[in-house]
Amino acid sequence: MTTIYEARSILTMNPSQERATHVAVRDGHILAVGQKEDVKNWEEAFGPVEINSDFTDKIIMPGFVEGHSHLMEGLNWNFIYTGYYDREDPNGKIWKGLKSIEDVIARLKEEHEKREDKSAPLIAWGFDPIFFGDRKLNRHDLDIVSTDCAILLFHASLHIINTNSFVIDEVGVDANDNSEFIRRNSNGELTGEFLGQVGMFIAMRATGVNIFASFNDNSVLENFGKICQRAGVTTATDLANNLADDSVAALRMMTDKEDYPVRIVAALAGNALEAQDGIDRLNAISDQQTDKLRMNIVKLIADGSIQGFSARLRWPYYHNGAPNGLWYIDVDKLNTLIHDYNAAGIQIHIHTNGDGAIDAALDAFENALSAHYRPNHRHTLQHCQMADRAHFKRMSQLGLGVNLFSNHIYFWGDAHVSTTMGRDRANRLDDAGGALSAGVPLAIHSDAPVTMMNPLFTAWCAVNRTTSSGDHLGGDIECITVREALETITLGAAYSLKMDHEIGSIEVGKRADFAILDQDPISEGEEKLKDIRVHGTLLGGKIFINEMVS
Amino acid sequence: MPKPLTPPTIPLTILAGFLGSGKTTVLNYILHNPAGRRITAIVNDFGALNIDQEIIAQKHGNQISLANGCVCCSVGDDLTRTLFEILTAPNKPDHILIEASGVSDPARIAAFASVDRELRLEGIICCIDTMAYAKQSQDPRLEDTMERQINAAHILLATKTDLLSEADWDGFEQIFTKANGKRDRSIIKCVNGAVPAEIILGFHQATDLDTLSSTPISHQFKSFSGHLGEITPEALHQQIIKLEPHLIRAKGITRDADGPYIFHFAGGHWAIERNSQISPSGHFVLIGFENLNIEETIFAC
Repeated sequence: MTTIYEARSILTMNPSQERATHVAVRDGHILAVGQKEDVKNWEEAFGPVEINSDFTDKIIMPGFVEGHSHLMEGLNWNFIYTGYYDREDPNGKIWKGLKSIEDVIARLKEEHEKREDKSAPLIAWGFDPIFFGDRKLNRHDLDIVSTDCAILLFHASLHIINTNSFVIDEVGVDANDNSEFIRRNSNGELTGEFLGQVGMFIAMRATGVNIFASFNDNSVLENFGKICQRAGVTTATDLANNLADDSVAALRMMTDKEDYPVRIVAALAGNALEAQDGIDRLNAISDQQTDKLRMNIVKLIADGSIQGFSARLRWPYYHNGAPNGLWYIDVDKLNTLIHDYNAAGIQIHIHTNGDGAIDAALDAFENALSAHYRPNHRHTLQHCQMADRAHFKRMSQLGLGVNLFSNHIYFWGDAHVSTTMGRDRANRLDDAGGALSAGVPLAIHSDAPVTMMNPLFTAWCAVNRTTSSGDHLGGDIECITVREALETITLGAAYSLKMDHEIGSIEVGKRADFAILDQDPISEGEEKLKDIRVHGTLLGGKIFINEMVS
Repeated sequence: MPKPLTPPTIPLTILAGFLGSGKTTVLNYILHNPAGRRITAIVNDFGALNIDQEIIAQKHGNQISLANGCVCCSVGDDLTRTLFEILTAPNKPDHILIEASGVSDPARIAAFASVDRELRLEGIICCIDTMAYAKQSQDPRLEDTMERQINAAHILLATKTDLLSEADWDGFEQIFTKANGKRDRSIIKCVNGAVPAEIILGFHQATDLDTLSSTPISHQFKSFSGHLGEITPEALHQQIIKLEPHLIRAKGITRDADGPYIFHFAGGHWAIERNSQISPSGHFVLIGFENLNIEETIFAC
């Protein structure tokens, strides 16, 4: 059966045919694009067509591609959201952003009261104290919620955790230890805040379970799928996954379902593996791939996060004098891995936040590509937030792509100006304009759950470069146009996944993956890009409508 | 003073140092010579570990069991999870040894012991490749990581010293001292990973205290043992500090007005355990360098 969808306008992202009103879909693929009479002509070849007029007041775009996200977004919604900004959950309920520590305590208390089993651990996420000035959350605040169960409050970064006194007593924290990873107040008392791996360890020891071992639960993948659907995303990444047998089985089980609304591209976590083991693993699971599940990329991590002061910066390092971040991988090992994966023809995505880490990655790629030239390698630098114009020129020379973390401009832009790097370097933060002018293939991303998944919001960030306080980072030269931004969240991200020949635009022969929008992103203009509502999606021709939630 | 721990605790040793610094060689030596302990070692990569086939009892997933009771777990992508699983498994090891990745800050890993009453930090050991040190300590990509590892360490192992002439060694010491200032602990020379288990793991349970004598365990070291009377941990610590930097490790069981306690010392790191069940034998043992001199301390009598 052929179905013709009629829209107010179709924004194809195909430069040869920018606009259309009708698109014909057959067997999950796009049969024709144009005006009604253009697409109806196919009746002769393929028989009768069905006209779908549900979207005559809607805008149809290619389904969005989230080039950097994590299944953890799905896991987190099993816990309580306590972030500063409003956030939509998988069912479309908006959880109000919490603007004070008292608001955070009130939400925890409310959710705790609703629970049947009040002795089970109470787990929350998204807390971001950067907005609360000198008022620090301490364990006594959390003791107000309960002293009879473990309370674990994960920060937005996931690298810091706050606990109540119950947890401290339960695991037996040494009150006198002067480890810098165990926070104390000015009187030397434990505040209940723990940094780095030790925070995650406490969470496991206090609850007796590995909270983060449950990625393969149905609920995680279901939540993730719903989050994608509500954002108009039809292909999303999990960067990265261990791709062990149970993980692959869980991904297959869910994505094989006809009503699962998103294609998933899962990258192999490569830091802890020898290259040969990673190559063998990717080869071993290659026949498990489907139209809705790709597992053909390795993900490496060079450094940490800028706001967590764990990114690797060049001189003069952090603006506030914090010690430079540590490498997440030995530089020699990074060179070896990049060399070996490139030689084996496997695409590499590498997390590099600081300019020092970008330097190291570029050196490694230059060596690897000099040893083994790989046309169309599509190796991609992820985040790449502090890249300068010299970096982009070098990426262009090496044929590397970039996927910038544009949401950072809004969420942490002010902190980057005041604390992490200063105004001068923050001006070029996530410089989409710089990438495009150097001819570097560009995508932009949310890194969900670090920030919310909403490609239209991410596009708004790259277009406007506005921080949450209303400041602007840099000038016009770093900004990109709405049309360019829309390309980065469709074809651009698809290119970074070697999928731009099958998704990312509405063109004959491509998959019928669409985002259905209430407003037209081009005519709404740059200010309103983030406010456009996603009505639903089509994935391989199957319709998914977002329920309205009051 | 640190808060007293309640025994039994599982001692935790962290083995740090750059890729190629000789960590794996030291680890391999210890696994073959564990001095009666059932060590569980958390390693980065089995492949690099060269365990004799004849002592491998079983291989299962990310775990290798050895005939001598030691177990090797590969860390995979998550050290935290691996350690959690070891602590929650039914059969607890005598000792946990973590091979830190070449770029990690061992102080971060040591913090695990501070937040868990079942764990006691036995010390951070850092391997330094004497052949590569001069170059590494000048490399802007490496120097700060190296500095953090050295600063966090309680015991420093200078590896590959057999490849150095005496003049080379003097040169190494000179740059090392210049870069790190005057340190309160000396550096142990280590060839092919051969270091006595007591240096890496500390002294075994109370039994060791009776069997270790003052016979030199290697030409590089000197050890003393004896008996102590009642003394507070504070006063004892003052005595131990007098022996630095020539003292490497100390352990003993004594008592004060609050009852018996065990004390552990390793290159500046100090821990005490209290439990009324301990028999306060007063026994102590010290290991230091050849020039360790206990005269004019309470350990002399």
